[in-house]
Amino acid sequence: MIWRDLRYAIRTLIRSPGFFAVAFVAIALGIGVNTTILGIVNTLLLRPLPIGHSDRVVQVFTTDTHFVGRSANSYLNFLDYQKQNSVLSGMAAYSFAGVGMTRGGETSNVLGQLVSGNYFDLLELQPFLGRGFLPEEDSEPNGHPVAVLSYKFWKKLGGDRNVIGNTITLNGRAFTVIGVAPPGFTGVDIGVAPEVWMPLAMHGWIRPSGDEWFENRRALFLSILGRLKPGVSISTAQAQMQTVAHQLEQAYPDVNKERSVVLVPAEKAKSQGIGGPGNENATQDISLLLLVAAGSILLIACANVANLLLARATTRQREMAIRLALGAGRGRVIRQLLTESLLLASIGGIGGIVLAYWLGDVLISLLPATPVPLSLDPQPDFRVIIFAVLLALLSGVIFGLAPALQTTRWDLTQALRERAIATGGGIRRWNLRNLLVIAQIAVSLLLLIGSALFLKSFHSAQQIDPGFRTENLVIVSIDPALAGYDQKRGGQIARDIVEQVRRDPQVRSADLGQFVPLGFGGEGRTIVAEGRDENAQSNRKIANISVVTPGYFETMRVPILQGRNFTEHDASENSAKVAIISETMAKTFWPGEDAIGRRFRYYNREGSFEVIGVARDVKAITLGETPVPMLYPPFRELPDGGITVFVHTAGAPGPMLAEVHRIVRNIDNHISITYEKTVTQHLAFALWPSWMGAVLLGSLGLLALILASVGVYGVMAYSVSQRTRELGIRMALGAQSSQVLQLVLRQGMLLAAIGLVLGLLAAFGSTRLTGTLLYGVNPSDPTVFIGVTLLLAAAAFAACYFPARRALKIDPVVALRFE
Amino acid sequence: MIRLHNIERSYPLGRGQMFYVLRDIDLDIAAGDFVSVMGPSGAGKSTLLHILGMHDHGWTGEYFFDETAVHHLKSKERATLRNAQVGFVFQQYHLLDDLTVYENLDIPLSYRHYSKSERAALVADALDRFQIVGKKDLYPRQLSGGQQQLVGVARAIIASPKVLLADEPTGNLHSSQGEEIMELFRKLNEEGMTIVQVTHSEKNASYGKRIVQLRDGWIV
Repeated sequence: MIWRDLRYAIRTLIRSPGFFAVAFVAIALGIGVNTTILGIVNTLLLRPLPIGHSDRVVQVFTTDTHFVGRSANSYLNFLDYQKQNSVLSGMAAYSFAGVGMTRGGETSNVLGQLVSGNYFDLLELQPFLGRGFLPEEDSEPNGHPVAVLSYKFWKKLGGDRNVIGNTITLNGRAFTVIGVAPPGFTGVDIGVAPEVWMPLAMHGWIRPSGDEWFENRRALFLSILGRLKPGVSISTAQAQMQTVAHQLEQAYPDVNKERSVVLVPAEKAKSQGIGGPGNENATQDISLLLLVAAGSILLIACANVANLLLARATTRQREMAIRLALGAGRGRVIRQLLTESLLLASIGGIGGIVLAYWLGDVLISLLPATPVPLSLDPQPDFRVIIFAVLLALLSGVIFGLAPALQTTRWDLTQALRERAIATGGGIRRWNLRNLLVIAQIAVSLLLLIGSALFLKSFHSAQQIDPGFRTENLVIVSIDPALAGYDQKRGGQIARDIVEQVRRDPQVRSADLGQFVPLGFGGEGRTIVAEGRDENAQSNRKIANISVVTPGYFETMRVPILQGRNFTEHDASENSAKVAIISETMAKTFWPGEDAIGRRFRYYNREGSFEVIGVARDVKAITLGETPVPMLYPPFRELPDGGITVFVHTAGAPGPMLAEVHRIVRNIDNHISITYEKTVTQHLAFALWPSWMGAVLLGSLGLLALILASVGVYGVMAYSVSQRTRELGIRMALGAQSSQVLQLVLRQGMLLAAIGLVLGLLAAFGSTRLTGTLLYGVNPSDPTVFIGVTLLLAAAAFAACYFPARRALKIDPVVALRFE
Repeated sequence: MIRLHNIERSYPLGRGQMFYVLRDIDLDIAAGDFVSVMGPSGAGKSTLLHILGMHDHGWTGEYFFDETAVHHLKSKERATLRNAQVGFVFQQYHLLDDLTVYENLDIPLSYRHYSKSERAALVADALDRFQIVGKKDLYPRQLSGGQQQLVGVARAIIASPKVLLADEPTGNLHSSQGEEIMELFRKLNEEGMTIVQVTHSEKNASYGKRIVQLRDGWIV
């Protein structure tokens, strides 16, 4: 029976190629967009971590009353947590580390992780080849140079199955490959994909300048994972861990003061890094926004198909009436019609899934070049495909049920009469078709306003002054430590590189800086102004630190507002400690006072700095941030994490990139170049989140506009065809062209107006969702609301105008013979 | 009042051939005349009526209405002339289904720039004159065929046209209803209205003052 229904459904669709094509495109777009967006959300939030019993794994974060959000942990606290807790069956630690890998004489930067010896065991991971680390391999400092490769990296290196036992050169030293991680495992943080893991005890070789971090309980650099003991809930574990943290605070009050811990399920913590500190829920907010937008597209598409089916239902009224007259039950006829819509939905769904794969490729191509390998894979997986199939079937029921019910509801005797068919469907003002158009317009307006807000936000972000040179600037980051240089030699080699760069006639100036504004690098430290009680919480503030060479401020065009710039003497080893601070740091520590000549020091450290200058603020992390305190000590030796060469060029900076690259390679081709961009490329990276938001929501908004216009057009065209007789009579009775035009337009625009009002109300109601994701744009921006409403009204007017123009061509003589 | 000279109406058949619905029509209709156009199906009766009513523009020849050369008028000017001078009654009544009797009568006036108060007065007069005041709030489907055609006639003359054109006005009515409508036409004609009707019925034709016979597009 079902097969017969299906066969008939196939025949029906083949007989109506125009209807089939339009419906297919609408469904494929709706399902395709939703599958793509769900692919992204799946990657960010839903896809479980590929580790054993991931629901029992937690991440441990430090909370500090001075910091926004959650922070990493110190190594010494990690050791104490391990010893003192009784709620976790195991704790493992990891820390990201850029590593210089030398292969074929060329050193390239790879992303590594230093991990505790039990890392793979705690995550219950079975390596693809070889084994994970043994606890003893993480016991002796620099005693066991062993490494585990990620599956993808192993493939990149050639995928040799006999790789176990081979050596690779990391930071100029030989490491033995002992294993290859299982496919798909790229750590427990979404977005970044480490390529090689090494024991934490090897940090002396991997991050030589970070040695002191392992002895400083205050240095927060280590991520901690824990596995809950059987029967222990996360809240119980958290309570006990906080007790341990409290004991550590009492035991080490100078360094652990006002610090505690918080436990977050690993599945939840995996994507919080994307939002950054204090914005841990950004991923959820963005995902929700995208899902709502994509869901709206599907609803609009379903409304379009439902409208097409309703229009078809009118023409098929006689067929259905005959079926009913021949004895088919209403349920039987509804089943036949639903089979048709489900078939349509299935074919459209397949089209949508294919489209989603293509869109996934497009999205990957839109990802920016980043200093670290990304692990974002928005391609649909099995879970997303299942969702897409269910969504397609659900759509089939949604857009098929109402027309099916309506088709089979008509009065039999009426339907079998000629006249009822000729004028069938009538012109009832509030029929389902009209309600669908109103809903389409309302949802489209909501989506378009969201799109416009993001486009405006992107525009605002572009207008934001980052506070530093935005043209003719080259940024090249290097890390000589990865090639085995210590801090002193590394500092000298960096100076040598800058000296050579300066000799190029195209170079106006070249300088070194630790921190790349709107990028990465630098470090944060707690600062205490001298002469104040360092135990008082209000006297301690975090500042970002970037060591710089004397010409840095000129090269970067960051004006010194007060005091003086560095001299070469300030950078010499035996000179007094001096620093230039940002205006925000000056206002933070010495509000209303002159900061020049003031002194400060690092919390819990000896030796104070004298403030010799105040520089203008720059955007440090994001374009939308409120300025953060920045501290610039003079460059003396290579800081941890490498150094960046900033080159101000006389002409276009592009060719200088290659030149700096060549100079670095000439000096030592083992030195890893970790980042090289012109400032324009670099700013594009900073603008990427708002650009991506604008692209994604802009595309969805445009799609909504097109689908809604097609919907309005379809309904109005159908309405005009159904009103041929009526309009013919009106013309025969003396209606002028303008009056007929007005009549049709009024009908369509009334629907549009109701939809627009509802859409505006919905948009005002949903500003909370978008508010936190916008740069410098009021989520209720009146120009956006008014502009977009007028745009959609114009689109609706055009969609009504063309059918209305067609109404003018109705020949009353022909129309009146219609019957 | 109406003078047709050498009116022809044709449709292309393909390959350069034409199918003629009306051939070389010469017809004079004086003011106050009551003409019945008769002939078999396909003779071109309704086409002639739609040409007279200026609905059809695809004809050739000369058409004078009160000395106005219709054949020289643009479409918009013809519409203006038609609205001012011509009323139309259809076999299928062609009332608007979703409008009440009152609203159906109001429609032609609304297309002729009458003020709201003038329209209300004229509709009230028509309802009174045709004795359908009690039915003013009913929809067409709630009326009998005769009542619907009564409303159709009332609607056709409500804007006081000089000429009333009727296409088989009793074709869908039973005999007594048909007679009622024809008596109404006779009365309107006696009051000075020029009437041209298309009919198959000898009896209805006899209400007119003269008969024009059409056959295969020719006046015979």
